[in-house]
Amino acid sequence: MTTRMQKVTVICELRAQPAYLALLERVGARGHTEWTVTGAGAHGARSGDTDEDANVQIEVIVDGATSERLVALVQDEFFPCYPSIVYTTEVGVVRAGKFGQG
Amino acid sequence: MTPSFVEALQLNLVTPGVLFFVLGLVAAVVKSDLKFPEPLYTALTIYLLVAIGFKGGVSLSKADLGSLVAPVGALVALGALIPAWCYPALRRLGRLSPADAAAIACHYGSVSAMTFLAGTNFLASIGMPYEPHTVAFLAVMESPAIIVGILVGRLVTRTKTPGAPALAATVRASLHEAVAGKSVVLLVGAMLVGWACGPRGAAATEGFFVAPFQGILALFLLEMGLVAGRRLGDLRRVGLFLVAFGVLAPILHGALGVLIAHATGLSVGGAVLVGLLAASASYIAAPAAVRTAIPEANPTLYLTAALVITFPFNITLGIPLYHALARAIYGG
Repeated sequence: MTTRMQKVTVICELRAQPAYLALLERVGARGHTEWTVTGAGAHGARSGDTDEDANVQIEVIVDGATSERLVALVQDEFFPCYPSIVYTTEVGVVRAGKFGQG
Repeated sequence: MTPSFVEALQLNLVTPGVLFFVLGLVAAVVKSDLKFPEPLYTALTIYLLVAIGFKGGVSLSKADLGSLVAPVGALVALGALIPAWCYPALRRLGRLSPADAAAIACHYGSVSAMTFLAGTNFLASIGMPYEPHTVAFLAVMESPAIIVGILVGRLVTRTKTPGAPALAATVRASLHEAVAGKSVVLLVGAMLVGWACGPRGAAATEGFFVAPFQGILALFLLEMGLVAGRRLGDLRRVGLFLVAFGVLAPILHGALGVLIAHATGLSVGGAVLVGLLAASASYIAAPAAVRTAIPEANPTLYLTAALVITFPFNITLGIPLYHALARAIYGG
């Protein structure tokens, strides 16, 4: 038995991680998962050789309303300073209470 | 015999550190697949900061601490004041935004431990003695400029960018970086350990902190060459002004450092290192603090200036230049 929730994924530079975690705290998200990633895009190659060249992918699972608040905050306060990629995915979670629902 | 500028330049260029740095640059330019895994870069940094801090601490345990008060006070003041003239120069002459000018000023007021190490290598190669506790100057000069530069940055960025931290949060973050940033913890912490253990501790760890040091520094500089080489293309984006600033600011700051060393009674070798410290630009502590505290600033500008222009300049031409300056000022 699963509950429908939203997974919000952000891919940003490692240095932007504290600012994004502060946003997660503001919307009341409980916990997150993150890992360093490499790739290339509008800002060239992100090799991950040093902290300055490293990207991080951060995922959090929240309910629909929190997801919308988070995405709005990201657009208003995060994008202007930190180039990043953000997307949401609908997921079915077990034990929705862990993510602030149920 | 003290070498002339040209001899010093030749001696400095033909050292494992500088040549491995050049090898890294070349490897990046020819797009070699040579790549250091990030954990290795971090490990090399930790080793070098701990080794230099520990050895400095051991020598502090034998030094007269009273003799350090005058140079430490003067160098803390220099570090804190460098952003005060770098900021208007970058704003007015370079027409950079307030955030970019403050961010770059932070980097040039703070210091680079690896540049300092390259300087100690040079002095060892020409047999010039220096006060071994100069590493204490490295430790005290790291943070003042970061704190001042960040405060200037926040105060002058009047139109608050969304997402930029509030002033109180910035003060907290910059103070935290000043006392708890990884480079400060490693350097100052290892210095305290070395100071507490004294020569007995040095003898016990010599095989690890002294014998492999030069090889590990060479490996680190190879990686720095790769990192700088991959950013060479950014030189075109930062403009001629910043390239000139990245060379002229170190020369001015290096001269001030040598003068302070002379006025506070350090040896010629000590003056070369203090000049080099004042001339160096941070690329470990400052970028981390600045990206969080002045997020409006463009990292390409300050990283390219510190890493691609000033660092290579200092370890190749800068060291013999500050050596020549020190000799001229000391009249030797």
